[in-house]
Amino acid sequence: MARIQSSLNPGSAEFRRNYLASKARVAAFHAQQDTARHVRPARDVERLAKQGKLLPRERLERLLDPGTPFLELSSLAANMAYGGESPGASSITGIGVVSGREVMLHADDSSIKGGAWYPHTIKKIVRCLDIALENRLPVVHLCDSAGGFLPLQSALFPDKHMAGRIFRNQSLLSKLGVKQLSLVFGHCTAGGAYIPALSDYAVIVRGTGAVFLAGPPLVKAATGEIVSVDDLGGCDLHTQISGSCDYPAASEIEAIAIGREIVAQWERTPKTPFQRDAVEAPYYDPDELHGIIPDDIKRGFDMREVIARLVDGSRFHEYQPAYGTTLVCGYANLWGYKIGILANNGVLFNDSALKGAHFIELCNQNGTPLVFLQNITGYMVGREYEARGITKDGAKMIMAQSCSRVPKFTVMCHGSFGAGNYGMCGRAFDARFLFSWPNHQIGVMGGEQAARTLAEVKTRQLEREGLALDPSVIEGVYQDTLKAYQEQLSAYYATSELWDDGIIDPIDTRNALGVALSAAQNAPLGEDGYGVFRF
Amino acid sequence: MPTQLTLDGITSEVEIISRRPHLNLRVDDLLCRVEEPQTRGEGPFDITINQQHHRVWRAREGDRIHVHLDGKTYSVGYQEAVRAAAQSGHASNEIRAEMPGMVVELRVTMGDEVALGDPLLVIESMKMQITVAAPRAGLIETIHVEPNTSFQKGTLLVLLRAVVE
Repeated sequence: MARIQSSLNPGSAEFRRNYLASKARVAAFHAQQDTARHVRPARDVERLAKQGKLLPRERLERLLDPGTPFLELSSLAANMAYGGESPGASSITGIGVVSGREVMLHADDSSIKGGAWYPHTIKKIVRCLDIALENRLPVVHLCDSAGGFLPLQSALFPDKHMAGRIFRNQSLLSKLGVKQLSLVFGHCTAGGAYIPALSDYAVIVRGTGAVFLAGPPLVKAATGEIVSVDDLGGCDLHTQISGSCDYPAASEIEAIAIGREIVAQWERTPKTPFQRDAVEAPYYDPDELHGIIPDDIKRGFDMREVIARLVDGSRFHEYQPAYGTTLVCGYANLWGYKIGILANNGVLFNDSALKGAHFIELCNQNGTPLVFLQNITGYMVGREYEARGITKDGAKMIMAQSCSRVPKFTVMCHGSFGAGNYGMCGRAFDARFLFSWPNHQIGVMGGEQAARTLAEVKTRQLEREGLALDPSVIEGVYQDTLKAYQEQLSAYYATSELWDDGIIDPIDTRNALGVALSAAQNAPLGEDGYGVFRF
Repeated sequence: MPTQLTLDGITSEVEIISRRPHLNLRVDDLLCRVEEPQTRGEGPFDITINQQHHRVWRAREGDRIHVHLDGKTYSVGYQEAVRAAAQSGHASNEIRAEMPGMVVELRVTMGDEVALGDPLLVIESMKMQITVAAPRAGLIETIHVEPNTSFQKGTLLVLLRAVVE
């Protein structure tokens, strides 16, 4: 396969400008991620220590096989919600290796308000179990939660994808034969009690672990019964009398040791054989990605330069290199896995949309996983393009992409605006994993366009009412809209709302996709076939 | 299908005519009969080309192979056929707009000499700024647009002229 010939000039002023801006952006991201992971009020940390509990990340560290990769997901979930009160949405999720098995991990973060579930916590746990379902990944739950955050119950309890979905997903996982283990370190109250109950295996720590539908205060209020935590739902009650949990453990460390031994008993299910070759590092230095990413959301760049810094040997077999050139399509290997890449090199025209749809069909025919690299402002607009059927050509791409039987992965490399997001496998299209770079922006349109549109509407409204045009009012509308949009367009807002599976440093993209591809192999390919293509 | 090899920067066309019983090659206009017991790997090996025996050393460095033969070292590169074909399209002197848009910035003035890939101007279309690069080396003959003006699809933006040596 041909190596991409990079025409990037690391000595150029533009490269250096981009590089410094991107490095600063990534440093800010890492700093924010560190804070979300580790900075907790001393009071909460002391309380956990007094109870003899480990911090959630200390538990994970002891559970995972030493020296193996752990791909944490949505580390900045809820970073712009609740005034920052719920870092990481009060939970940790990710893919790791336990006793040699690839598993999904879900840990309640009891170092934040006793591990109470905020609405975003529910969204994060449901997404984690969706990933487990889509990829048939066994799950280990590390339970320690005070239960739902009651002041916000209407935003976490009643709807289809809220708390109940956790238990629905757990049930479906079990039906598919995908194993689950719960390690009960702290409380599992109310709905949370069903997590160990619906797990195939459950270990509970004596003294601190407890499982019950209602805690002592609620029991007293409901029936007048006065009972201690341990008597109501402690380790001995559940492992000796009720049978709701299987293994008693004298300490957290013992619970983790028992958990690792349980996972070690699990059969190793055969993986879907993706085509794989020997691994080769990229020829071009991935650090140069920082010099490619423009410091301006409107600036385009050659996505081949990005591909050259992600894939094995920087080798790329480009499909239709001279047709529909605003969508770069082709085969490459990533950590040895054969993948089909679709990457935006400009706005999607009729020919680029047709090329994309055809290439997706080729990958489905060939059993090749799809990787979408987004930097898209949409499909081309205007009479000429409508007359040539840009809408139905875009629809073909969406049809082929939606109905794909091969796993899909999406990386938000820069802008994601308008309908291009759909064709390029945006969040709604069930990419197995979707990662964003810190410079990413997403919205139905860009901030400047929205501000200009609304300022224009305001001007017309004033004219209609026969009022004097005050430029400061118009400017005010423009600036207010721009500010509101910029906040909501940012990657931080998107990841806060779990529109992705996490922001990643661009140079980690290759590794994140490698772990994702390996995880995706646990599920069989989907059903073959498409709906009606509008020709 | 013929393959392109570069030998110390000079491109040659190599075609395999037959593999058995001996490897018969066409290198540009030259026909060669090659007998080589060891076809892969690095280090010394023996090769017979048109009944002449040679002792050859071979070392690989990334995509290049260094060959030591009769007291001289050659650097051999392999040019991928797909890429070569994609790049072989005839580059025009006329740089026309591929879609309607607006000129953001001119990066060249009339009379400038440009190399392949040099930025000529920045345009904005569909909310995205795109740098239009020189499709070939040349002189800027004329510039037909100005900053902050819009253009239609197919509009002539810049005209190049070949540099006469």
